[in-house]
Amino acid sequence: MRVEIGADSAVEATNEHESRGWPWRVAFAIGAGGLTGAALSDSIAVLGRHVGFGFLGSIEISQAFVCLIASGSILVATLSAGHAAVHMVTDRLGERQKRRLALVSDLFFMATFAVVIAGGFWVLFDMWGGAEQSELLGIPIIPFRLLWLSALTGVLVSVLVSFIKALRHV
Amino acid sequence: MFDPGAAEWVGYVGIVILLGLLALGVPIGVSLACVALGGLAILISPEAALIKSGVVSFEIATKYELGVLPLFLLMAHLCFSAGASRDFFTTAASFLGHRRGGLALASIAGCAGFGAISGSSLATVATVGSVALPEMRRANYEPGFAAGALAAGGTLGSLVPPSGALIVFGIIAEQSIGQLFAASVIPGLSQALFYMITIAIVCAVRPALGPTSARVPWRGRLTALKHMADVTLLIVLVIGGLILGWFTPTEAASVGCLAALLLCWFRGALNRKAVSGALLATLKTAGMIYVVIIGAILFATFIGVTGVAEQMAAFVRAVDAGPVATIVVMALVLLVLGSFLDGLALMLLATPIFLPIAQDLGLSPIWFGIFLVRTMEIGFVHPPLGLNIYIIQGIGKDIPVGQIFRGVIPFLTADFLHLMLLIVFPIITLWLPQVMAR
Repeated sequence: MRVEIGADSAVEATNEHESRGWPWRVAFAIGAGGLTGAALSDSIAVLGRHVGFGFLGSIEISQAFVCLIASGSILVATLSAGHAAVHMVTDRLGERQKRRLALVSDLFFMATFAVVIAGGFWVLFDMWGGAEQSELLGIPIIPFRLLWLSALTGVLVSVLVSFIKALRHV
Repeated sequence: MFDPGAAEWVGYVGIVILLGLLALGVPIGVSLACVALGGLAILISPEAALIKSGVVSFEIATKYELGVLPLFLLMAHLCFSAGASRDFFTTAASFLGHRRGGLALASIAGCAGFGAISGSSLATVATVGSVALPEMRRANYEPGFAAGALAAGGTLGSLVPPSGALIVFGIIAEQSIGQLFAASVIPGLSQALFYMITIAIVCAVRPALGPTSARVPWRGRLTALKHMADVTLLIVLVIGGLILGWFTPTEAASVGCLAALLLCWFRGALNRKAVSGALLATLKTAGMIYVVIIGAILFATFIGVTGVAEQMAAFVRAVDAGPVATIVVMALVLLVLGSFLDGLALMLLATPIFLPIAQDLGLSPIWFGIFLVRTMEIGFVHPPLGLNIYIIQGIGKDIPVGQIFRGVIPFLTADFLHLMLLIVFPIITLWLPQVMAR
């Protein structure tokens, strides 16, 4: 994976999602729904502002869609093995060493995500009884925390599965 | 509480460990988060590190401003699906191709235009390169010069709005993305102009490098111009509307997505396959970026707690070298680091350390963002890493890497001159944001 932020010119294999399992399809549906919803709600807000009707809480609605984008995309990227890394050193190694380093990398990945997930659950339990909600529309936040933590847990499980598979080949 | 005097050392050791993890191939976002969480656990407490990670990750996942990045990515992918990738180069080539070095000039124009859709250097060089390099080779351009022009031109994609690098900088440095986009307009245009002047000079000295091609009749030129009118309108609407204050960056990206869907429909490319392909490509990149940003924010917190940036700022004050000399030293450090770190990793490592120093010197963070991205861009074409060089080499497989690096030298010279200009005259960067703010 080359490291850069932006759109890749080589348009991806568009039927890729049809050949994947259900976790991938669910992640794609959540992310795609988030993208579509965010684009629509913001566009309606812009249109409303310029023709004279206010769209109350449009930012809160978009924020909810952004959470769907984040949750879906982080899973899609992980299931597609698409996380950015620097390959300058590893590209110069033999296949066996590369595979071993990939396992080390997976261990760091899993340890870091385990900490982030644990931290997320800690905050979730702190907030559980507090009826956390958005200011204008009163959108409950807890379901979005749960969605995000489910996505992170999905990422962890996905890396764990690929780690176990890779372990057999070393 | 940890001994404050030793906190800086934890910071320096953390930076070394980070470089080690990156070298091992650990994903950038994970490396940043791993070092940050370990450091925060040592400096404050394991409980604080745990809670911070939970708070930061959800904040990023629901950050409205960060929605701008996936939405601009979707806009770009929809434009690719509509077949808008080649339009800028083919139109510029029809106008300039008959002049000496004209196709190289057209490739720079093509890169600037395509960059205004993609926001990415690598995407720009890959897409425009795949169209322009075979064209230039057919016209008997010297391969190294042609490839060098494209590799350099591709870097425009990182600077011209909607630059992905600037969006990420805006998020981690908590700066206005709209102002960063406005600030990048003149540096982006002047960079393109510098490259064009370089081509004109090189071709005047050695005409064999960029021979003339057949003149395209006016009817052909007007047809090409008409063909790219719709995508030009989209860019003007999105970037212009943003700079004029019609909408916020996230709204601009959303409007851009709808306009790109209309573009697909107008060009007869609107179908389920195209839309789902664009959504999929967007989600893959966005997911990678979310991990990177979570890591970067945690790392910035860690660096803030260590006091490394303050210590460096105090050192700079003690040396009393002045802002220009300090920034030149920073640029040299970034260029050296850019020899073995990719642009994104370099930016995420440098921002929390160098930005406080720049602010301490009284420099604008908006200016610093443009400076950082401009310096990062140079890393895309200078040896030994120069990712753009390898992408171009992947397109023109028979052109040796050394020949491309030689071809890029005149453009690197232009890059250094342009960077110096931005450092010495910050107004080039700050004028448009100041006008916008009035």
